[in-house]
Formats: sequence, C-alpha cells, structure tokens
Amino acid sequence: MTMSYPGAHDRIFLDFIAAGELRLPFDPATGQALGLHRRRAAAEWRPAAGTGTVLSFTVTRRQYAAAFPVPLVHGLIALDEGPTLIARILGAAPAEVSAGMPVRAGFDSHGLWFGPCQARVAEEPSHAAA
Amino acid sequence: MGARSCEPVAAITGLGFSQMSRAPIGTVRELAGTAVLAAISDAGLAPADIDGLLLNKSPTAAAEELPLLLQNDLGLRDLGLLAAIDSEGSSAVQMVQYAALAVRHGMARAVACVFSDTPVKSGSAGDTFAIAMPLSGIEGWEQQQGFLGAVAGYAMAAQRHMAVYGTTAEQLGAYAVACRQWARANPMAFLKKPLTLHDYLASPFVVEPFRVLDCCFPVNGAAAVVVTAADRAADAPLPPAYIHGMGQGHRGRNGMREDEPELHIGAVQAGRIAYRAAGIAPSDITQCQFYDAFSFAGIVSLEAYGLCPEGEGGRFVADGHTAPGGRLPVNTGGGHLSGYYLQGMTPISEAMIQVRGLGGERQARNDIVLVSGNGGCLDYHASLVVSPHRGLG
Repeated sequence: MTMSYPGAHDRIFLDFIAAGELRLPFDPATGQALGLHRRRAAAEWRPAAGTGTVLSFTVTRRQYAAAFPVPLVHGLIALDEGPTLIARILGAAPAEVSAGMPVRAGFDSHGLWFGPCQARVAEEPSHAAA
Repeated sequence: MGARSCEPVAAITGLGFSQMSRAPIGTVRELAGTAVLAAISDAGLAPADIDGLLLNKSPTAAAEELPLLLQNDLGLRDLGLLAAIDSEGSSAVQMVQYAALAVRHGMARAVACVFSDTPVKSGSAGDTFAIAMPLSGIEGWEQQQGFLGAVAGYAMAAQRHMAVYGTTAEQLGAYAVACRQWARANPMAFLKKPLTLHDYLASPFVVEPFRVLDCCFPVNGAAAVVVTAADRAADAPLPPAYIHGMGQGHRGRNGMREDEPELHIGAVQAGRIAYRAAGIAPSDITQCQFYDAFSFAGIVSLEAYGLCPEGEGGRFVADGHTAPGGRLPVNTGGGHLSGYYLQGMTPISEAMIQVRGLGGERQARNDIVLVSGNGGCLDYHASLVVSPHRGLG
C-alpha cells in the first residue's frame, strides 16, 4: 500500500490524461507498447487507440470518497496495445459489466473512464450508472 | 517425501501479545514494547538476553510510530541486529527469516521480532485502509480513479479468478464459514458468533465480489516472537517451533495483459524454496497458517503453495477440507477474518500455539505447519515451514 512520489513517467501519463488524451509508452527499438509499471526514459509516448477489454471488475458499495458516489464500477482493462490499467466503467449498470466486455475510453472531470463499445454515453455521465 | 534436512535453521521459542482491542489501548510503540517483553518472558529469557530486535509496522502507519528507539524503551543494549522490515504483509514472516539467519550465523543469540498496529480509530478501521494501492503503475492513478483500499485490489483479483476458473460467491463464503468455525474454539478470536453460508450471502457488499465477511477484522494490538538457535531451543520453558524451511517470492509486475498478477503469484516461488529447504513436498503439510486478509487470499494461497490444483482452491474449501475435521486445517485460530488481524503475526502466532499443542479444542495435527505472509496485492510473499520436531526424518 506504500505510495511513492510521482516522477517524470507518472507526470507524463497524468498530464496527457488531464489534456483528455490516453497515451502509452512505447519502446522505440521494437515499436511495442510498454506496461505502465516500466520506467524507461527512452520511451516514446504515442496515442493509444482507446479500445480494450474488461479482464475483471469491481463494484464499490461502501462510500470511501465523496467525489465518487456509489455504486462505483471499476474495470481491470487490457488495452488493445497490451498494457493494462484500472479505471472507472461508466454507461453500464453493474449487472451489465462482465469479463470479456469490449470497452472504449472517454474523459470526464475525473479523467479517464471506459464504457461499453456500443453504448451511447453522454458527455458527463453519472458515476452511479446503475 | 524428499530427502529431509537434518538440522533446523533456528527455532521460535517465545510468543507474546499486548492487549488486543477495538478500542484505543495505547500507541503502536507502547503496544510493541508490551508484546516484546511478553515474548521474552515466554521464551524463559530476560531482556538482557536479547541481542537482536526486528520491527514491523503496518504499511498504513507512519515510520515514526514504530521507531528503532523501541530498543531504548526496553533498555536493550549492544544489539547485534536491529532493523525495520518494510515489505508490507510479508514483513512479519521475513523478520523471522532474517532472525533465523542471524542466529544461525552468529550475528545474534536471541532476536525479538514484533508487529504492532493501531488501525481502529473511533470504532472503525475502514478509513485507515482506504489508501490507493499502486496497481496500474502510475503513482496517484488509483486515487484519481477512486479505486481505494486493499479491499478493492483484492476484489479485482478475486473477480478475475471467478472469471477464469469459475470460483463462486458460495466458495468465498465457505472460506469465511470455515474460519469462523475455527475461531469459535479460539479464546483469543474476536468473531465467534455462529456463521452460516446463508448469513454470509445475506451480509452487505463492501466492494463486489467481497462482502464485509470476506474482509479481515482489524484490531489494535501487537504480537512478538523470539528466535534463537535450534540448539538453545530445548532450554525454553515451552516447546519451540523449529524452522525447517524458509522462502520468499516477489514476482513483480510489468503491466502487460499476459502478466496476470491476479492469478500468478510469488507464493509459488516462496513455497517451492521453503519445501526444498525442508526436504518436504506440499502433501507432507499437515496444517496451514495463511496471511488471509481477504477470503480470496486464503483460497489462492492453497493453489499457489501447491496444496490443491490451480483454479480449484474455491472447490477445495467448499468441500470442507480446510474446516475443522477436514484433511488440511487452514487458519485454525480463525485467521484474519474471524480471529484477529495482526497482519503477518496472526499466522505466526497461531502456528506457535499449534506447534506447542496448546490449541485446545481447535488443536490440529501439527507435524509440519506452513506459515505464509502476503503483502501488496498478492505481490510480496514469504513462507516458513515449522514443526515441533527437531528432525523431520
């Protein structure tokens, strides 16, 4: 549970997210995307397609933070480029979320979220998308 | 069975607790001091006999809550070993490992190892543990996403296990019920009310798929052990736990899809190395004391430590094998869910009670006991193979 301080790698990723863009580090030698745990100064940050697959998901029912009303759905998302990350899933009721579901990235005031590929999601969807 | 090692690495000869409570009962440092003195006395030693001290604070506590200065609080002089071990939930088992190595190699003769924590503030520990785990690889990311607490990280891993292997809510529940059955015979356990699978399924969700009964029961308190060389252990007033095998496994994460850190964990390595050192196979183990802060952690530990096939931990538990009367007793004191959550000292302390034959109604076959520590989100693993027998041959 120990947090360390964000370094350049973390700031680059978060700054792109703040600008409404999902970018991933790529190895310039191989052209392959790097997992976000790797910290390589030589990485090239390229735009991601923003599409992926839900590997797993959770539904938070206990309210931990006022900014995140419950029920709050998160997915472990495998991006099509290969890296994984955890992010909110909006635009689907908790019961509609399943492993294997294709999702697409969107942005709101908290930053990145994912929703079902086919779903029509408003610009600022409710977090309690139940 | 493989070729047995002739000589244990070292022995655990003392066990001590502070008071344990859901109410404020003192600082981390004060409770740690009480537990260390109790463990020294239990080992039949005096503070002047202690020449090593290892400290383990909770990852949620500040470093200054359990300082190296505990040495001076207790009047310990001329220590040959003094360190804080900070490998999250694997730390307590790691302390015992480093203490064993130190006494084996003459750096110290008697090492006290202590864990202490006060997570329960004003009746609840929920906010203490609502800290984002760095699972995605970007510092601050989980916070930004509102993905808070170890409970969320383990819930995500459990749901992945359910998706891949078909593990069910009823199987998670069976784990919680088995732990409660054990706790009912443990005078030190905090949750002893009878629990049925129906009660479990009716209990509220915290972070799906986890209900409140899938989660550990935090308490304020401390526990300590004393480790000495094996050839001094017979002098202790109570039977020692001989340490025959030790292992660690820290798999690391690369953040790529095929990595699956939710399913493939370093406990495999921690077990393999400990078994090899002890000259045993998983089938030789007669009981397990796992670090099971969440039900799923116990289930996946059964798989990773080779006690059931991969993916079948849930079924193994639901078939009753880990419950009282089962063929492989697991967490005979109730573990973290129904006993008490003193992180890595919960499995170590119950192993000591069992090895000494002091389990009363819950006493299980204690010939070869597996003890595990697990930290991060299944990231950091450490294990011990302990026994009341000096030789396993």
